Amino acid sequence: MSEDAPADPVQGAEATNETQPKVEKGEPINVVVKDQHGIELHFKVRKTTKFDKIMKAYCDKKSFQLNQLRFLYDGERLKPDQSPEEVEMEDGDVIDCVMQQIGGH
Amino acid sequence: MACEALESTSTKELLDKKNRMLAMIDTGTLPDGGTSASNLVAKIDAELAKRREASKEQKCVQPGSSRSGNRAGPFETQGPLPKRRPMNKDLTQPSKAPVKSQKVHPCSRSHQTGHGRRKRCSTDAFSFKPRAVRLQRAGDNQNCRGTHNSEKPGQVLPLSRICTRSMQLRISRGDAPSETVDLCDSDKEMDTPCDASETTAREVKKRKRSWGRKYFEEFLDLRALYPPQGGPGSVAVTAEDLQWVVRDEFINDTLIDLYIKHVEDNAHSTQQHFFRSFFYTKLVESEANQGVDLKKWTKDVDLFEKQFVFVPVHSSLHWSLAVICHPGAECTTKCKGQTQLPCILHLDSLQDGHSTAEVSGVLRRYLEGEWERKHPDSKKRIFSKQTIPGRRVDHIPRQINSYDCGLFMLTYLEFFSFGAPNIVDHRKLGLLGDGGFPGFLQEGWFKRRNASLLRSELQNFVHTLLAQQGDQCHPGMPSLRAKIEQYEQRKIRYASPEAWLRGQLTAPPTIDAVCKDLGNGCIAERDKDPPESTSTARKDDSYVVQCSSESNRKSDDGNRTKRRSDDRMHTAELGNKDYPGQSSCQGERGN
Repeated sequence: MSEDAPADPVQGAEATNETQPKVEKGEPINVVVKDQHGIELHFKVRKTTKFDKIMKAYCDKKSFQLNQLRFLYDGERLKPDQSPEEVEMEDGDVIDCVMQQIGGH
Repeated sequence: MACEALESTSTKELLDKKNRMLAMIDTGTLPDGGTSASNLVAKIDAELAKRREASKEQKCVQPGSSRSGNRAGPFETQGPLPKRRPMNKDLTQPSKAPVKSQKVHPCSRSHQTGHGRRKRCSTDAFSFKPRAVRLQRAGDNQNCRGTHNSEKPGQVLPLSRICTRSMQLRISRGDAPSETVDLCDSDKEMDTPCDASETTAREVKKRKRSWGRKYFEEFLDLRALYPPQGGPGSVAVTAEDLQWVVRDEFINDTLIDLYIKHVEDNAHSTQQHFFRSFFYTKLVESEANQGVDLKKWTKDVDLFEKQFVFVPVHSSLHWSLAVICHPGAECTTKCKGQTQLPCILHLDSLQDGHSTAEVSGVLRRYLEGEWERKHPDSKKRIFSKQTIPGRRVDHIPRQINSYDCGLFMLTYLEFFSFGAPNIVDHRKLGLLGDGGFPGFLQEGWFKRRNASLLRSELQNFVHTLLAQQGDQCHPGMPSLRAKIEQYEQRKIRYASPEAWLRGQLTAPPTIDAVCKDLGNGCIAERDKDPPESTSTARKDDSYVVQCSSESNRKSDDGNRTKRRSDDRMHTAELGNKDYPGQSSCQGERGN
C-alpha cells in the first residue's frame, strides 16, 4: 500500500511533482495522513474519492470520532465532500490530522 | 409445543422424563452426544424450580380464575405500563371481553405457570424497542415457531422469545392500528407521527433543554460551509459544533476559524493576514519535529508585505492572540527615527495565560525562517528581542470567568482588525494614536460583556448558516428558524466594532458631568482631544488612563461583581450606560 509513496512524503512533496509521472484522473494515488505525533497512515485512493472516505477510514482505524479530528492540507481544512482532485493533491502528499482544540481559561 | 408441553405436564411426569433423559445421556448413544438431551433436562429443572417457587409463594393464579383482579397488581407496579395498555387491548382477540383483556398480558399463558416467569415476560415484552426490534423479533418468532412445531429435541428457547412469540401471534391475529402510539411513546427516535398530546409533551421537554449542551442533537446531520461558495479558508461547520457555543462552554477551533474567516472577509484592509487556529499548534510542533513543514501554509502570501499578521495561540485549553505588527519593517540602528516598528503584541484575556516570551520566541523563529524562504536573495534579517520585541498588552478588557477566552480572543481580533491605526507603536501602547479606534488596546476598548455576547452572536451565526444551507426538510429546521427569529428580537446583542463605534459617538453626555465632578485632570486631558470625532469615547478613555489608575483595584473589584451579574442576566443594554470607563469614574467618585 505504501510502497509507492516516498519515504519522507513531507520533504519529498515538491520533488514529487517533477519526478513522478502525472497521475491520470481516477488513477489511484497515495495519500498520507499524519497525526500530531508524526505517525503516518497511508491510503491508496482515487483522485476523485471524497475525503469523507479517508476520514472515516482513519477514524475507524484510530478509534476516533470524526468530529474530534480535523484534516488539514497546506493549512486548509479539508471538507468531507472534497476530493484530492479538487485540492490539487499529488501522489504522496501529506494530510495533517489534528485533534480538535478547545479553550476557555 | 415444547414450552407448553412442559408447562402442562404434571410434576411427576416431568420428573420421570428427566430421569429418562439422564439415563439416555448415560448410555452415550445419542447422536449429538447428549447435548440436546442435557438441554431438555436443564429446562425441566428450571420448570420444576419455578413450580416449587410458585407453590411457596402461594400467589400463583390458577388457570381460568379471574385474571383481571389478580393480574392488575403486579403489572401496574411497572411504571410505564398504563400507557401501553391500548397495545394489549388491540393485540388481544376482539371476541374476548375487552375490559378484561386490557389487563391480559401478551404472555398470559406463561403467567399461568408462575410468578417468576410472569415477571420476566412482562419485562421483556414491554421493554422491547418498537419498530426495528419488533421486526427482528418477528423473524425470531418464525424460528421459534418453526422449531417448536418440528419439536426439535433439546432446543432451548429463551423466555424472551416465548413471550414475543405469543405477542406476535396476537398481532398476527388482529390488526394493531394504535400500536404505533405505544411504540412511539417508548422510543423517541421513531419517525411515525405521534398523536398531538405526545408531540407537545416532547416539544416541551426539548424546549427545556434547548440551550443545554445537548440541544444540538435536534439539528444533527445539518452542515454548512462558510462562505457558501467555498474557497481558501472556508470552514465547514456542523450541528455538533454547536455544543461548544452554549453557555459556559469552551469555544472550539471550528468556531474560531469560522469567525476569523468572517472577520477576514469583512476586513477593510488587505494589509492584514489571518492565520487559523491550528497554525500556532503546528508551528510549535514543527519546532519539536523536523517533519512538520509549514512553508505551504503561506504559499500564496508574503507576510512581510502585510501590516498586521494575526496568530491565534492555543495551548493548555486557552486561547490568546498574537499580532505581528509591521513584520516587513526592519529596525536599523536602534530604530531611531522610524515610524513603523516591527513588534509582536500579545493579547491575552488572562493575566497568567500564555507566556508572551514563549509565544513571541516561537513567532520570531518562524519569521526568520519565513524571511529566508520568501526572500532568499535579500539580506539576512535578524529577528531578535531587540529587532522585533514581544510585548504583552496589559490594559485591555479581560475575562472574569473561566470559559470566555475564545470569545475575547475573537473580539480582540475583530476590534484590532477594524480599528488598528496605520502605525502601531509598541512603545506608546495605551496612548491614543491619531485616527485610531477609541480606546484602542486599552481598558475601554470594548466592554467585557460585549465579548461574552459574542457567544450568542456566534451561535446565531452558525444557526443561520445551518438554516440557509441545511436540508430544509430536516425535522429540526422549524426550531432552528425559531431560534434565529428569537435572537433577532433580542435587544442586547454583540456589538461589532462598527456598531460599537456608532454607539460611542451617539453616547449620552453623562460622562462629561462625571468627569467634571472629579476634577481638572479629566477635563484637561479631555480638552486635548480633537473635538467631535469619537469624542465621548476619547473623553472616557483618557479618563480611564488618568483616573482609574489611581484607584484601580477598588473600582475594578467593585465593578467586577456588577458586571458579572450583568453578563449573566443580559439585562443591561449595550450602549454607554455602564461601560467600563464610566463605571470606573463612578467607582472613583464613590470612593
